[in-house]
Amino acid sequence: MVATTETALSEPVIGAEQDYTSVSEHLSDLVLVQPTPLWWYAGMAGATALFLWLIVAAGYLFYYGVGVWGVNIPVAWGWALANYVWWIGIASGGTFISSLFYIVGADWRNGVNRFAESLTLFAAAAAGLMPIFHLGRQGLFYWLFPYPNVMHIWPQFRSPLLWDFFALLAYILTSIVFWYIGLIPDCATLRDRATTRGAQIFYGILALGWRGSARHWRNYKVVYLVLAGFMAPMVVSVHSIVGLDFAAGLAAGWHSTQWPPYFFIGALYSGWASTLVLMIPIRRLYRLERIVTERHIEVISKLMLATGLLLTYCYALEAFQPYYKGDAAEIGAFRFSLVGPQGSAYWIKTACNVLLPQLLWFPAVRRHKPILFLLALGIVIGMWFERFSFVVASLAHDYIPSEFFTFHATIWDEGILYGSIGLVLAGFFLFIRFLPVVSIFELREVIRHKERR
Amino acid sequence: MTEPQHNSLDLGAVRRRLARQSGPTYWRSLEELAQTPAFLDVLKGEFPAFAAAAATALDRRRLLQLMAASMALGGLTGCQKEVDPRKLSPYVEQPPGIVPGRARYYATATSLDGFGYGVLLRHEMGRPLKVEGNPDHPASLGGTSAIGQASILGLYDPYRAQSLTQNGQLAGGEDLRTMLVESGSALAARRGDGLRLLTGALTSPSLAGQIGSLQKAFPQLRWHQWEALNRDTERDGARLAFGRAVDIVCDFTRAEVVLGIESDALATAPGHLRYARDFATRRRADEAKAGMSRVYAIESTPTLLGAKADHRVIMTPVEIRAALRFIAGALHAGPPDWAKAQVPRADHLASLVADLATHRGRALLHAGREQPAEVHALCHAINHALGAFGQTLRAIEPVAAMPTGNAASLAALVADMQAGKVDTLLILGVNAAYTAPAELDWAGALQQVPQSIYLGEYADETAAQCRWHIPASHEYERWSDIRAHDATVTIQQPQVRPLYGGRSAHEILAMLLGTTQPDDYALLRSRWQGVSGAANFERFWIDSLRSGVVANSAAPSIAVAPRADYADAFPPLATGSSALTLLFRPDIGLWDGRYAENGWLQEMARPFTRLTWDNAAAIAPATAARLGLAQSDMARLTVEGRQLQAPVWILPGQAENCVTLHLGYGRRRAGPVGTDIGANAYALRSAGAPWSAGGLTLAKTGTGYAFASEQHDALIEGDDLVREATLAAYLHDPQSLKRKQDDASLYPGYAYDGIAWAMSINLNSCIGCQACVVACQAENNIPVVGKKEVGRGRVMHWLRIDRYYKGDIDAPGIVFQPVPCMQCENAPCEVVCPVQATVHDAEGLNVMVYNRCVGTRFCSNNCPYKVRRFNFFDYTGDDARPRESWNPDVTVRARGVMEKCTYCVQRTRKAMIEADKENRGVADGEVQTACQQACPTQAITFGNKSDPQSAVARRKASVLDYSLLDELNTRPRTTYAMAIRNPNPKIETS
Amino acid sequence: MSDAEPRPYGLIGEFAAPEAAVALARRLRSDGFRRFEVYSPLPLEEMNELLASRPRRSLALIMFAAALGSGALAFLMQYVIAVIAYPLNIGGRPFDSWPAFIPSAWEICALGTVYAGFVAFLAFCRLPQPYHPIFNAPRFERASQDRVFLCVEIADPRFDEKRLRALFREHASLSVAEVPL
Repeated sequence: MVATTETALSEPVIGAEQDYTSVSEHLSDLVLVQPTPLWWYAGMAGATALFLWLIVAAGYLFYYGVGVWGVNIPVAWGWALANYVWWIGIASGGTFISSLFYIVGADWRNGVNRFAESLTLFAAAAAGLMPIFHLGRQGLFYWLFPYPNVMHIWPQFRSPLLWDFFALLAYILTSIVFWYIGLIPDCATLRDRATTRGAQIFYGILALGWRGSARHWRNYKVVYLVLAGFMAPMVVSVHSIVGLDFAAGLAAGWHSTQWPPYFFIGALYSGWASTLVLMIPIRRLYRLERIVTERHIEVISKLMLATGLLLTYCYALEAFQPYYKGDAAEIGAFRFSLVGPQGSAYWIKTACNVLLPQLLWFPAVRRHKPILFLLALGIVIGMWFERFSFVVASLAHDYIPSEFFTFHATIWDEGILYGSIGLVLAGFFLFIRFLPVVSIFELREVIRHKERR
Repeated sequence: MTEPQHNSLDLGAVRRRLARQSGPTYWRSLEELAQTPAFLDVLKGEFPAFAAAAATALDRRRLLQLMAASMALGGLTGCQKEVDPRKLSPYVEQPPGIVPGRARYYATATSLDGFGYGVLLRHEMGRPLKVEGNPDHPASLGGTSAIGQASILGLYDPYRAQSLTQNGQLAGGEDLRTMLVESGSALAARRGDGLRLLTGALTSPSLAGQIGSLQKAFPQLRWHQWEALNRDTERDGARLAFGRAVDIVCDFTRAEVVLGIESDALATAPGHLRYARDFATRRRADEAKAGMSRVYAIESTPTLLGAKADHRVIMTPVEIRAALRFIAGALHAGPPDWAKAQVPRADHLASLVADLATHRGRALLHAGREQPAEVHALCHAINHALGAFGQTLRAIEPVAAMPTGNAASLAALVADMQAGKVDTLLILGVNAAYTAPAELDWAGALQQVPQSIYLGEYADETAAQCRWHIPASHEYERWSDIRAHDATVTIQQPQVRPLYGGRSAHEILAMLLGTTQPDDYALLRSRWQGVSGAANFERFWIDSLRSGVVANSAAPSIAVAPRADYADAFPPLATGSSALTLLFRPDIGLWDGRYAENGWLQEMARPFTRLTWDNAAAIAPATAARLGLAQSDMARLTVEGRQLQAPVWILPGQAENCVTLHLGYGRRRAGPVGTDIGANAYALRSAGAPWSAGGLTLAKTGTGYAFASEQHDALIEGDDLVREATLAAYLHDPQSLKRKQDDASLYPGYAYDGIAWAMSINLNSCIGCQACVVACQAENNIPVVGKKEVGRGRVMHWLRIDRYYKGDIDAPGIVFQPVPCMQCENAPCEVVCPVQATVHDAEGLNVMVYNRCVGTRFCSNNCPYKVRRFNFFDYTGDDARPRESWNPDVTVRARGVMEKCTYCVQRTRKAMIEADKENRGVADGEVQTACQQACPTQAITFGNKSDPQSAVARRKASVLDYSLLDELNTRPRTTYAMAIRNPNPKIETS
Repeated sequence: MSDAEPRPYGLIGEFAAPEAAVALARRLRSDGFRRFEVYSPLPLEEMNELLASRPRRSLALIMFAAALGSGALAFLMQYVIAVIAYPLNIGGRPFDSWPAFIPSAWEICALGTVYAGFVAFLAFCRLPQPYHPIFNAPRFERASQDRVFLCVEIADPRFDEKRLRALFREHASLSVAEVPL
């Protein structure tokens, strides 16, 4: 541990030569001055193509119904729900980094929270789509909202799905505010550095007339602190409720109290991993090595390793519980998830989420960006398989043997998943092109803090 | 809606056009027609959707709608007898009796094997919509079979033949009349020489009478008979034993020991519904007054009776013959040395013999039609030796109008056809081109016949080969009469005017006899006026029609005694070799193939394989292992050089080296639904070996096959789901069987002080016949989804009959368990629905609000019984079933909506409303669910459980009562009576 | 000040180091100046004690009230709907199955708090406000980048241009200028 601490400390949280001017110029020039790089066009084109795939898949789905997927009775939930849990998990990472480490005052947070929050936003959007796609009658999703109507029919508040509806709604809306408030002072910077009229107006509007007066800053700090104080438990609750969607269900293997923490830990895990997946290339392409330093990578890798170990414990518990309970149906469901038609999913998840992160014990791996990138990518993928295996196995192998069945995905299942990835990437590419990828004013704070030390 | 006058004028024009129109098929010609503006106008008036469809290109769904609409079109072109346009006008005042929402019932009978089963048809607004059993009819007692339930779909089937054709060209009714009358007079001139009549098995007295007068008019006429699933073996068996043909009527209520030799008594035998009812009354250990019966079964392939048997002995056909000789010998019903012969499972048989011997006069042997004549003869002899005649069964004169050998009769006909001796062949509803034995060159022979006239419901294989195809009317569309297994007569009254202008056999024969305007009704009446001998004929006529039974028409018993030397003719027993034997068996859904076009029956899961939309070569696990065959391998079956490819299904409980293949599949010209479904077993079936063919070779083709089975896992350990006990244990200490249930709950339960609907299903009674499943489908507008969707796990049946195996895979115990919605009081499905689409009502029903459902499908995930069904596609919209045939009392479900059983809530509501009007409570038994009403064995009881006197409350009070997965504390309203077996202690110990 | 030329908004000084600006702000405060403001590209905690404390606490109080209010409202809504307005027997659970109402209540509570906080924040900062005289100050665009500005409004009773310029110089301001109105 000592060695790692040293390395962690030895790494500065920001380049020594950086000052207010340099960070302001560097980060705002990326948006205002620097000509749009070729890789951006390439990436955006790819992302948009994927996104179009989503539109096609969704259109086909709306026209013909959910029957175009592989879902059946008993496996009435398929990829759409797996995607949902996966995306909401990825979405949880960002806000958690941003809010929790703001409260505990971790200085390294400021280098990465903008990435993470933006990712949260788009991932949450993708997650929000999935339950709607999933419905048999997609057009009527708003019936979950308690609005007065002539029929005097209301939603059923005991349903975990309704909790989930509110959780997701609240999470997306609050994440937007949290993200936007953090953006206001930087928009002011961009407004003031902008040379073209259009940019000035655009960022001027976003900046809302921010002047950076002491009063502004003080209110800002108060509100941001309380927001952070709410967002942290918010993230926990959102993913615990996702866990309750299953824990409150009766299906063998679902009906257990272990899922809320299990799901939350998984969410953080995919959150770290996906943040790394996006940060490593952007850092390189935008020459941010002096702003997003080795230190940040180091810290996130270690957090990822720690979370990975927690998740490993959860997996162990997942395997232990059925046998401890001795419930035949649950044991059957668990065995099915190992050796059934979807067994591969279980072993992929174990390989990616348990074995892979063990590499992070080695500092060399943590420093070697390409490997770290692939490792994080592997974890993100592994998390999807975890969700899939969890959703399908218990349903396919429930209480009544005559109704045991299995699940086969169709191209339309795939279309929705890959398309949603396109949606998130497209959003992310727009973000890195038009907004500062790192919170500038918070870097100034870091610099000032460093100078005073 | 366009103005009627103008509308009908167009109709007349179109009808004339139709009459002129000629084309290879009706459909092509219709599409041509559809392009003409006049026709499109009519369509817009009558069927807007169809008009649109006709104008646009056809995709799958459109085509189905087109077909559906065609049914009514057929009505337009067909049922109008008059040429002059008629004015349409709506009701000015309701005709008496037709009250919207109030059902009316009319008695008639449906036929199987030519035998009648009394039914009542429920009419709504003048439309027959649902088949129920006729409680007054001795062959039904209120029960129905799956086929009987599905007959209503056959009535409305839009794919039934709708146009009269001559050489494949459309012909007019006039042409037919002229042709028949003229050829009739021509034949009369030469005394009917060259005229042949081919019918199936028929018991209709009036049709027989008509044929009789036909034979008078044409002395040279020869009447042939071909019923593919004929009962020649039974007839020959009786001839062997008694020297004469008799029919046997069993009385299972008096049988304490039953031995079924691959018996079809509960499945397909004439009177099987009655037998099933009687059988079940002696199997409910806690209710049977006279005590529970003991059932033995000896069989090569599982039968419904075998599944219920206390001892099921699996033997190959050869072993079965040996076993029966042993039993006969031991019971002095045959040469004593038989008892000394070597037989398999001798100890088992010995104790069986002892059991039979101690139950003289209370024992009963029954053999299935698939058993050779020898076995039937042995059964008769043993039954006689056991003094069963007059006690547990009785002999009566054969009920069939012509109890001749079918195989011989058809062979003779084909021979004569080939010899050119036949110039006019009249076929009454026999699809010989499909069912004829493989070695007969039926098609070739038919080429030799100048004038072949086929009366059939469908444009099927035979219709394609005959000069004339006359669309036959459905049996619910015509006047006729029919006899039951005990010769009881039902006068079949039409339930609706012929939808597609079909004609009845009576009409055709009458025309051949020179009547230009035949009238079945008059014919039937006059005949019964002659024979009824009733003082007041009107009274007799009305009573017979109303009750659906002609009083005292059952046949009296006749005395029979076996000939002393009946065994002399028996061939020696072949020594059992390991060569494979192919067993042909009737399918309880498609029967001989005539119901292949019926979607309900195609999608109905078969009791043992749980297969839909397929038949399969069923083989025992051991045999499969020996031949290196796996489930759903494609295999090539070869018998006497004839080949057939069929997929393999591994069937526990099947005899080794026996391959069972069900008949009725692989139709070539059944229609859009039934064509090319499964393998055509007739291609291997010869007249010489109609039921079992030796010398079969089974070779793997290397390709696989995709089955659509409704059940994928069958073996259960423990008795959590299906509880069983022995009669001995029950009699010793009933309370010991009671399963303790802990109802502890943090929540206070709801009090259902009013009615509390509940159901009890008796596992002793359920024989797995699937009648309830089809009844549920008919009552609740459940769509047919097709093989692909079933294969993807999307079958829609609200009620399923799970089949489980227990113990040894080679000779397992087989149990059937019907699983409808459990209507849990603590329904897990309701708690997770975010929109209150499924909630509890005041009677404790777990109701489903289809219109509120958004389709999260969480309820299905949370249902531990998995009885919820989801509309993944617009199944209802895609169903070709004509709209007018749906049950108006039940909402049809849209795409993306969950659906499930609600104890036929439309029926309970109706009953409660009626009771409210009369200011009284709902009486026990006043409301029956569709499944309960259809069940031939009364396995299902339904009613108000808060009334301690109600039948359901009493059944639930039984110690045998238990609820499924009670450890989940869902508190189901549907509970089960555990199965009680009554094994022979001697065999148990040995 | 003659009435001929228009009165400026105030006098502004530019600083490189926040500390200098903060020091001047302290000085002005102790001298009894009230209407001055420090503009910085980053929050300066030191400034907090120089400002009146009321709005700050009330911001926190508003959010606290919003939390309680929206939470209670959310729970009440569920209770009224499920128990009073349209009670239904759902899976044999009692009408008032309050534990099941808590998750939604919490989520709505968080939503209400965050949005109340956001709106209150804008209100207290008088945002959005596209125009403000301070933007007329020369080089003020650096206020959002790397310079700290201190502006004394002319409306301040103690406003005295000469003295202020001296003070600015003394606190090492890079430049001093009038802010035109």
